[in-house]
Amino acid sequence: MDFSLKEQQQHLQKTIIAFARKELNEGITLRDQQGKFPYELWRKCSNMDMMALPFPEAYGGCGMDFLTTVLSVEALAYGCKDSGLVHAIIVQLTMGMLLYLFGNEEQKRNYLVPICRGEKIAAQATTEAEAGSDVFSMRTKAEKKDDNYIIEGCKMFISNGSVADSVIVLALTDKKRKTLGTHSVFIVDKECNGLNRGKPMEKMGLRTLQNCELIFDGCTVPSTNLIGKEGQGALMFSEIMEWERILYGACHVGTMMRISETCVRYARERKQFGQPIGKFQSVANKIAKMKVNIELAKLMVYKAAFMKDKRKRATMEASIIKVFASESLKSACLDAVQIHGAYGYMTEFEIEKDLRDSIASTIYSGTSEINTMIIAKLLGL
Amino acid sequence: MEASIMRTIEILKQFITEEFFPDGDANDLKEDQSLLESGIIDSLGIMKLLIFIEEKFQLKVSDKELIPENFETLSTIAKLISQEHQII
Repeated sequence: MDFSLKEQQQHLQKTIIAFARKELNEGITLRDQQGKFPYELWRKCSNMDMMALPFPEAYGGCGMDFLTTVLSVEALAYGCKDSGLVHAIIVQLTMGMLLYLFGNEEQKRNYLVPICRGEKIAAQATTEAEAGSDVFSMRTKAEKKDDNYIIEGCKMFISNGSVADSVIVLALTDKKRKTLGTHSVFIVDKECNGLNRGKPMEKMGLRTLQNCELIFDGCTVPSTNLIGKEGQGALMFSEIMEWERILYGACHVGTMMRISETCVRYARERKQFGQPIGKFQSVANKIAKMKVNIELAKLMVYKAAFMKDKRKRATMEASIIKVFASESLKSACLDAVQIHGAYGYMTEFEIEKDLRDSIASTIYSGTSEINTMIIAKLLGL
Repeated sequence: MEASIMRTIEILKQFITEEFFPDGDANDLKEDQSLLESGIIDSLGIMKLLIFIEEKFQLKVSDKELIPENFETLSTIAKLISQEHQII
């Protein structure tokens, strides 16, 4: 077992960190307040090939392994203070992966290539008002009529929803049964008649990430827009959630590294009662705990990425990462505010923004409760 | 039915009985009984089954084969295992 990163991976991380610090952080407080999608920064990230990392060169990708992709996302989240933008890129990578794993050649040419280039923004439409992780409560349906599918229903909280050029939708194709083969996946273009998008929703954090309601009102797509086979949807998403959860884990590790360094710097500089506050055990312990969690989450993320590179299942590992990294991130952000005292509470110091951004991490991609339940069930409980 | 398929079905029967209905008897599970329709295996159960199959039989079920029909009954799963083995 070799824990060292290759020279190329280290170089890539340094390049991404330098890029993110130079290009992506200016005006972050104002952008966060305005809550708009940063198209210009998206373009810069696509020029850096951030959306192309794990895909073969034949589709415009960089042909990197998943571990290197994960290291790149970690570096991006470490260097970039705009977590909303990093999350938008993760959605893009995840949907690219779904197309790469399950799409046919034509779908890869038409959709994966522009996704890699960042020319098309992708969104994933799974969640509904009454159906989060409980996909059997899903109501959005797709009915086959001649050579088309007609999609009817409503998707909620969809990340990248209001800016997406292509939406990957999970819908019921068999309403009669309640088993594994009842869902299918479709790709829907933004121009498609019957696809209506709600306004971007105002949120506590991750404000540059655009979430909205998507309404499918007789939305007609050709049957060639079915990804994989009819009935494959639930299995497809089970697989894709592994990749997604590992990518979010890498993102949380990167963010925690940045937060932890900010805290170390502040705890060494800020003096109270004649000494740096880092000399007080109650402050030092909080930062040491951050370090412990960062290193543990990092190892787990790297292990799971390694498993995916070996084409192994990582259902358990992905859920462990999702619970541990997101809970650690939330805890680190709360501690960071506390360590910075009143400064931490002020918008100007950007610490409170990280805390607001972190709150959603234990909710999306399966709540901590759902992921813990998955771990328990896989243990046979 | 080939002996190797029969053997695979026995292994699967044992695993599914132990994991998905521990109070059941492996002999109660029939080769052509629907595992998905009957709710014995759900979306998480199938991931558990996949992990088991890939470890036990030292194979990788390709993404293309990740379709419900392949996991419908003990017979279809055994057939899938046999197919994927040939690919390797």
